[in-house]
Amino acid sequence: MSKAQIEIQFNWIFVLVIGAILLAFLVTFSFRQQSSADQQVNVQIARQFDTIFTTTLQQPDTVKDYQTPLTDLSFVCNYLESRHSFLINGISARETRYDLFVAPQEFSTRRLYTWAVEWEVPFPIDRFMYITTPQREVIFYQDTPEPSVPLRTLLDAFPSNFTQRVVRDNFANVPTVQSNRDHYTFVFIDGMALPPARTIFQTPADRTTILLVQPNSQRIFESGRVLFLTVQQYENFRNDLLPVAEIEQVSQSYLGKASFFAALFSESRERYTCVMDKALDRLEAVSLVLHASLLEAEPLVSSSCRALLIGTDREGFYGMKYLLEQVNQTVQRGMSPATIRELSTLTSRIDQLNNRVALETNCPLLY
Amino acid sequence: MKRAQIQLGETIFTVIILILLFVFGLVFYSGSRERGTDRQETLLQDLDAIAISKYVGALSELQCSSLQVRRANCLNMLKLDGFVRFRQERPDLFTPYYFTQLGNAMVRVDEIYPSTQSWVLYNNTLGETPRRVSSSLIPVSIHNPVLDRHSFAILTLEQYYR
Repeated sequence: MSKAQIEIQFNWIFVLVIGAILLAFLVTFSFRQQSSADQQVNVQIARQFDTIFTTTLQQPDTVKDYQTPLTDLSFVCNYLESRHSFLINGISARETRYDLFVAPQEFSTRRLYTWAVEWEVPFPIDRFMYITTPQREVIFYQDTPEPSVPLRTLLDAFPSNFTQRVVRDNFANVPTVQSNRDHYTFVFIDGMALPPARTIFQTPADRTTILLVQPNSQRIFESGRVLFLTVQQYENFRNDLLPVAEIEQVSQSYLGKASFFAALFSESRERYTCVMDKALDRLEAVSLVLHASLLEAEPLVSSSCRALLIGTDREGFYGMKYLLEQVNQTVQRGMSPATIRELSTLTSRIDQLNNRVALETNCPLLY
Repeated sequence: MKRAQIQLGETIFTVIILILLFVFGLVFYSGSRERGTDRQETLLQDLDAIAISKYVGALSELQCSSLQVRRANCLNMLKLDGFVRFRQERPDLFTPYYFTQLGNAMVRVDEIYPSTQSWVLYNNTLGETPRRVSSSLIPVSIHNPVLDRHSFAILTLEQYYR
């Protein structure tokens, strides 16, 4: 082989080696860029959702409708294990330990509805935010030609944009599997003539939640109990065959409108209990701040005002301070029907006292 | 042979120059991307500061209210005192919640007219000198519910970034 031939061969080897190095470098670089771009997209989506949530929380009682790219969303709420997070496409986007977000556990959507409601018991505590999609339907059952007072109140308060329907006792528009929704929540109010399960539940069981609301009065949102039932449990309840112990296991109490809708949108007793445990944490903190503000007010106000705020030595006459201490102690017990019952009594007394304070001159209102 | 060697040398030199140009281009591009990311980070931090200051002003445990009607940009003086007291007496309850909302920051309300008073509502600095401090000043009204008087104040939010 001549020198020229060797030279040409060497040239080619050299070119191939350099070319291979350059190609490897370019391929590595492009993969890194792609990974970086994916991360950027995820961060941008997370920022968008953060903005959505912040905007919604700043404007309570306003329903918002957002278009998003097709996204997989998950909301984890596990109070005992202290796992609270919001995931986008499987990646944790936000820790939600103190956020009162009520949403399905996992869903995919291109469109999101959000709604925030202030929780007042009776002083403002925090805002619940409900997150749902057009593919999740709420079905209200109406057993009489005209809706009852509690049902009318519920229908008036429920946002009209959300996917819903009212099923009457002719079952003409009962949802079936052909409706092709992601989830169906059936709402019944205790005292109605409950229809047989086979006439109304024609949707897949794994995509159906049945709520039976037992309000303590005609004012449905004031307080009450919600039963989260399966189809079989519903039928047993309807026929008075559901044991009391089982009723206790499937029920949970609510206090106030925000709490009621938390039960409705949570779609399960466990997720509702988790979010209410978080809400009670906030109630504890706010009640402590208000308690401290009463102590600050004590030396500054008149004796009649002090009697209302702090209380007197007269037996049976408790001021706002005592009631807040009771609220604090009650909340420590955690979420349970007994806790809610006691809170309902205490908050009613606080409300009455606050109204009396309003009649005093230069007496600071608690809220 | 000498000519062949020169040619070979030229080829090698050309390839080296091309590689160097390519590497310089990549370095320049990466630097440009980094500066763009820094600018975006600063913008997002400023947006965060605005969101947090709005959040503080709307806290139900501080905001003025009259029988459940809340007033925007108004803080209740007794609630401010109570909030500071709660922060001092119950850090076990105070810190976990407010840290998740406010992070490494300092929140202070300074009454400037007619009298001067200050309330440090939250103070969680970094353990080290921050790389950047973002400050927001929001004018608010403070209501004294005992005397039923309003005063003018500034809500200061300083956020610390590593």
